[in-house]
Amino acid sequence: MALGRKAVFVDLGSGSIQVKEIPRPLRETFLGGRGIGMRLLYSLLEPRLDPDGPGDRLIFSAGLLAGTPAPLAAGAIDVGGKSPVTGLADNLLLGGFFGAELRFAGFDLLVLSGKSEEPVYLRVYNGNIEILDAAPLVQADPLETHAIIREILGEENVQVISARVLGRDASLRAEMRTDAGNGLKISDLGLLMTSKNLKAVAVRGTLPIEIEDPEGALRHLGALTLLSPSEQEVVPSKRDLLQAVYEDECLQALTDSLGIATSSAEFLSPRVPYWKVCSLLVEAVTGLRISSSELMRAGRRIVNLEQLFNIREGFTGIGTRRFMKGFLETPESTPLKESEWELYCELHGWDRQGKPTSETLIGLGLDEQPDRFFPE
Amino acid sequence: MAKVLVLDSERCLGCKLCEIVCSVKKERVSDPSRSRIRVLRWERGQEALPVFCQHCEEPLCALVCPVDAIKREESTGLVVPDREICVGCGGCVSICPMLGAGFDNREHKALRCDLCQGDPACVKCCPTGALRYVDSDQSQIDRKRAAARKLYLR
Repeated sequence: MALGRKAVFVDLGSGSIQVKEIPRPLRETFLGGRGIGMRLLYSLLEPRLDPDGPGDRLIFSAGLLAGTPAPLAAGAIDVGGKSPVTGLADNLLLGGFFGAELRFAGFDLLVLSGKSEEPVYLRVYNGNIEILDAAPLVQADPLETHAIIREILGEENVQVISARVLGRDASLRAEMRTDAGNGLKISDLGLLMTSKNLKAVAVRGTLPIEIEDPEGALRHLGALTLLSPSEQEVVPSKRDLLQAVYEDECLQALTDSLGIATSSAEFLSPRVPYWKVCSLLVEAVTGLRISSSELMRAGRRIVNLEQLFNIREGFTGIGTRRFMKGFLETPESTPLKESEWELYCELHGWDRQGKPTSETLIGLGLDEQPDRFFPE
Repeated sequence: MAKVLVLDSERCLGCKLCEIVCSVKKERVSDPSRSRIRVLRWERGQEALPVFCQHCEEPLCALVCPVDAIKREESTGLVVPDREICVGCGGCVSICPMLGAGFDNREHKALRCDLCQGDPACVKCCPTGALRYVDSDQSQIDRKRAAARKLYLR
């Protein structure tokens, strides 16, 4: 089963390693990747936790379709955590093959807590996890780090994520990268990773992934490959612009959770049923029957949970990162008008403080106090 | 006219989807180690090269096979090992100059691309069209054109 992969919880402080099953209901509601990462962040982190302390978790989460017949092998990996800079929930999707390789190694989730005394790196290989001394990597730049790890492990096909601080001040900026060219990003989560004294994570696996319906999966993938990106995007009007931002946010959460990278114009193009095929592909690969509208709902659910997390941290009146960064920085939308903010909240089903209304939460199944998956 | 699998390595992204698709089609599980096509990657240089069986005119693998398991099929012209006869020595893997011979580490048998009986799955799923399935004479002309363009045209 593609869903048979496990979650591993590593405490870098004490060196304890626990392996747990990923419950099926968690899969059905939060899919994988960013969704499950966000869900875990919400349930594992104490409210208003000090992100510089050992309690903050760094979560590597492979997409629901990782390592299966999905666009670009769904090889991207989603990294999540509470940003030590802003205190908000943060995530980034790194391209490459790391997500797929993690699944071939037998895991879907790496949840790292604690801080190591000495610089270390993590090695994951076919169901085994080791914490190794990173002394040989301390002076190396990221690509050297990757090369040195390949040399030490004697394994060319190992996939590596490494982090390093940029500049002298270790509290300002850091980058994270996988091997692929598009897998380099400057992110607060890089700081989180370096603050744990974790230099790199190296994974390699050869465990086969069962596919529910192999022929069906290949057929749907073929259909997705044939669909061409829409030639031109229509420039939206003001009302449509906010609508587009809203749809884009939910969609981004969805594709980050599936592990596929696609532009929203392509995904939602009315000419091609990309998102409908996606639902068929999910069923053929995993056996989970999730309709296309249910998939979109999962995207909204993830965005709303992130919003709940940020509200719990004491932030009100803020939108998602996509909104704050993408929309607010366009010249025509600064300063943000009251009416636009209201419309944005209305689209999301939030009140004027940016807090999801109870109808919204009930509609998304987020109304109960979310019980803790993976009890300690 | 016989069709062949051709590669435009400059278009290859190195996403390894072809490996996954191949193993799903042939082994019904996603397991790149048992794929008939393998993508060699050099991460630092951002380079990737898929390798697969070229069905050579004078296949060295057939020459070194100690049990004569590798023969050219009359009907298709493809060089295919007979799984029943194969003893899993791996000689074909070592000798292949094109790195196109695969090996099933689970059952210890030789693996070879058979072009999916004329309907290669990897071609259908390649996101950039780096893999194509074309008439062999067309492929030759394309290659000559590409080479000529590099030499003479700017």
